[in-house]
Amino acid sequence: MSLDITATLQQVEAVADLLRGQAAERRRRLEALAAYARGVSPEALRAALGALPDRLPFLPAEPLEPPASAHTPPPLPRPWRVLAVDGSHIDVSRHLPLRCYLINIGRVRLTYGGGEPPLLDSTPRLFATPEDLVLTDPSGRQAVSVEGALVHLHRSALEVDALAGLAKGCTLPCPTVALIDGSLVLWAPEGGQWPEVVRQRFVRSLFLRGLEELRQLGQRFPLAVAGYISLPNSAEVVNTLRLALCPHQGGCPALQGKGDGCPSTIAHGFVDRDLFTLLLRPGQRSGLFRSLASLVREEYGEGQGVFFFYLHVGPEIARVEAPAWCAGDPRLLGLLHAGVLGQAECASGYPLALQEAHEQAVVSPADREAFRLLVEEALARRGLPVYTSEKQRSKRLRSL
Amino acid sequence: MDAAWRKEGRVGEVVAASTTAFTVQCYHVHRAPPLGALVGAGTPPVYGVVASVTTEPLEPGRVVLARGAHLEDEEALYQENPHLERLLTTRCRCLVVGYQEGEVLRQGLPPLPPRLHSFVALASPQALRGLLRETAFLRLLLAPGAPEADEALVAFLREAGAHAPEGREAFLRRVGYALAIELARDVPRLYAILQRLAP
Repeated sequence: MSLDITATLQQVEAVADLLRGQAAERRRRLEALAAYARGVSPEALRAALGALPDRLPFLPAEPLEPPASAHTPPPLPRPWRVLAVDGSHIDVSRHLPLRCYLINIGRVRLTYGGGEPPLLDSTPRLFATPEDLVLTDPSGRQAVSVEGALVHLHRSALEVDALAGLAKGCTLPCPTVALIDGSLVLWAPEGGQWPEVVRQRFVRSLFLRGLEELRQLGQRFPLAVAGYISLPNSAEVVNTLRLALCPHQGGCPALQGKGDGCPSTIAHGFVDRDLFTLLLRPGQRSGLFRSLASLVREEYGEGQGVFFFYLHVGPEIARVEAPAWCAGDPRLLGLLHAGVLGQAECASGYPLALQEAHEQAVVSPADREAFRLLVEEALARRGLPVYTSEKQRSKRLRSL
Repeated sequence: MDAAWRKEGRVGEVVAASTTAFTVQCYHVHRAPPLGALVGAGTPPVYGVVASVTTEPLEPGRVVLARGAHLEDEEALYQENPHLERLLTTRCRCLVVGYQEGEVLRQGLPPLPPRLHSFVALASPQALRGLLRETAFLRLLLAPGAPEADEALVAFLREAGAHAPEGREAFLRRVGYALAIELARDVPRLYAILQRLAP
């Protein structure tokens, strides 16, 4: 055995003791924060956002309603439909004899009533040409290799593209909820920015084009589009409350994570789902908030701006993000609320259609090994060199 | 036999095969040929008797959950969970009893099993009558020895009796003699089978 479980256990126990010691104090602070959220007006929060310092180490969100608003779901129409897409990928690997990546997109269409047959499928796409693997701007000055976070970005963009394709194929004009797994905000790693060539290829030409296509398809039948985030780690609502709690007009060291004594420190260490555990009852959704992420402000435009709410699905608080055209239509918002909740209830807390889309898309360790063999065999059959790293070979053999 | 291979007559495809048995994945959940039915797989057909039918998740490892506590009837359960139709599968295991060789239906094991993905359909009455001319196939159906395999044999013989050239009663008498010879050393088993065959 390579991990010393006894030594690890002692460290885990010490951390658990520490957390138990802090639990009562955390609970007191969280209740104080929830009480503040119940009393503060959206105008006061927007005023705090207006006095933002230039550079904040965290991201707030703009409330459209009192932050402690709670809405119950309307009844679901009949028939209605849920569409869901999820992706999985095999990243570029130097241990493979071919420089390439593979994205597998799983799609699900389930219609409740109306007799439309269910659809569950997946489509793999291999990217291995020089144009696929290196993005170059027209001037030739900027070249970016596609791997790691960029493969993930490409996958997210393809998911929205596939969702649009799925919606386009729907013939029964019934109310429809279309879901992807994850955020509609295409975050760059570690708070960075995507290079221009990446924005052009993946954000504008694929992701936003897909969202726009979905908006237009919404003219054929009611179509609510959303990104669903299970166990969200975002703290934009908590951050907004921190700003409003701080009496120092944004210049407070506590907001920069330094010093204490500021009332805003009661919010320290909480994420939004902690807060909404106290503000929402099962089945309820929160009020709407607008994302202030810089990429959304710079690229998405007014129509595709990202709005979000939190939803108590029973076992957890989930985050649901919708484009402006969907969030701004009360009928679509209600459909989204009821549809996502109904789906989560079908599958013990996570939307059933997304669960099945994941099952369609997932690339198992066995699939990865089969893919490697497929690549090696295809190259060998054509007399091309097949190599792997010695490290990879040693992992496979695990000899004594 | 060709008529049975038409699209509308097919029940499924062979997904595992040996010379003694093959497994059929049915095209529709819960719509399998019944226990004891004679089916043909491939061209020329290899004939098998359905010895067991199983409905389970398409992917091993996925758990089936009870979903209908709040619903009025089972039909509503499938309407409220349209995905189940695509994620469950019904398979049946068939014991090989004979095969077509030219114009002749031979009893016994074929030289090769049916190909994977061979189409499977219920055997025609003509093929069934061809099989019933002799009783050598009984030995293959008795070979597994388990009580559930004997149940499949009983189901097959009860249904086949209606198609036997000499009529049901004479057929069961002929089969009874053959079973008595095959199971001469296992009288309790013989007795259990004959009791199940009695009108």
